Amino acid sequence: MGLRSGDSDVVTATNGCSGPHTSPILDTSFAPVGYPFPLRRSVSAGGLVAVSGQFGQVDFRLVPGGLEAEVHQALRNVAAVLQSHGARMRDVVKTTIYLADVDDFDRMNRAYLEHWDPKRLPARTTAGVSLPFNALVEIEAWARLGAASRWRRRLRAARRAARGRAGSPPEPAAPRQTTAAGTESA
Amino acid sequence: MSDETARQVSSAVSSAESSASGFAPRDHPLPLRPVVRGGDWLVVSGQVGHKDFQLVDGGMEAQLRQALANLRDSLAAHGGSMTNVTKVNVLLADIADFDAMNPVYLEFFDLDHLPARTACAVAGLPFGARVEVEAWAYVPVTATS
Repeated sequence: MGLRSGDSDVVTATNGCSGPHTSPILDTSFAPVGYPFPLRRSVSAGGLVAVSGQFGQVDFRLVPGGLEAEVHQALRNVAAVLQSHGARMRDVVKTTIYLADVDDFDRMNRAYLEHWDPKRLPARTTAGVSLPFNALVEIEAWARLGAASRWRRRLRAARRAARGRAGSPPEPAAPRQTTAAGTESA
Repeated sequence: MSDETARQVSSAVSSAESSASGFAPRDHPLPLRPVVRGGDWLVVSGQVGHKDFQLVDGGMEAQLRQALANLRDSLAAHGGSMTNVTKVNVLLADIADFDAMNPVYLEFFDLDHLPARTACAVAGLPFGARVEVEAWAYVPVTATS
């Protein structure tokens, strides 16, 4: 049983997907929004970004190698989603770890720790649950959007304002970091 | 706490500590911080009913009482209080404990400041705990700095 209200929908959407490493965890029932599940990978609001539960998957297939491999891949996926918001792992304030088997707790901890600066670890909750796709672990995260993303928001606002009036002052210089801005922001 | 549970917790915590040198970051034997600020929010890690990393005796209710005390103390250490708590997730090892959970829960919150809450049973909790409680508290930076 998961915590996220979206989970039951995801399970429904993936009925018929069998074991890991073989069938893709992909169902196009919800494809109209451009993503095969009724959710966004991330949503930002109020200076925070919520990252939907990530599995140890690449191209909707669970990676082989068991618990540690899935933890590593799930966290890489979290990092990739954060990057689309100009955020990094150091910006994460909270994670929730869902394990298919809570006895994997110690092994998960060791794999998990490799992805973080020990001085900047997020708050965390861990529970053993039943997971879709026969995944061994699912990881969701909340991160703060830092000064860089705030600066980009101000930049976009300035550009919108500039477009809206003639004889406006020149726009500020483009940021050096060209990471795609949070295209999935609410 | 039964001797068996004590052994489990002790074993789990010590294995976490000893499994790799330097595994324990700073003052906490697990790879997490008890409280992290995110903007105007204080995020409190899932609390189990432990004292010095030993689950307390007395079953779910005693563990919940201790977990909520840990939550309260964690918030206080960062300038927050239970009245700032906006959202709580209660994870039970057994949904049959739901009714017993509520009165203990109410001991820690004012009726006028009850947080939003989700409660459910999960398949298992770390250390064999009976209950785990996490919380988000709204404590604007200006209020504490």
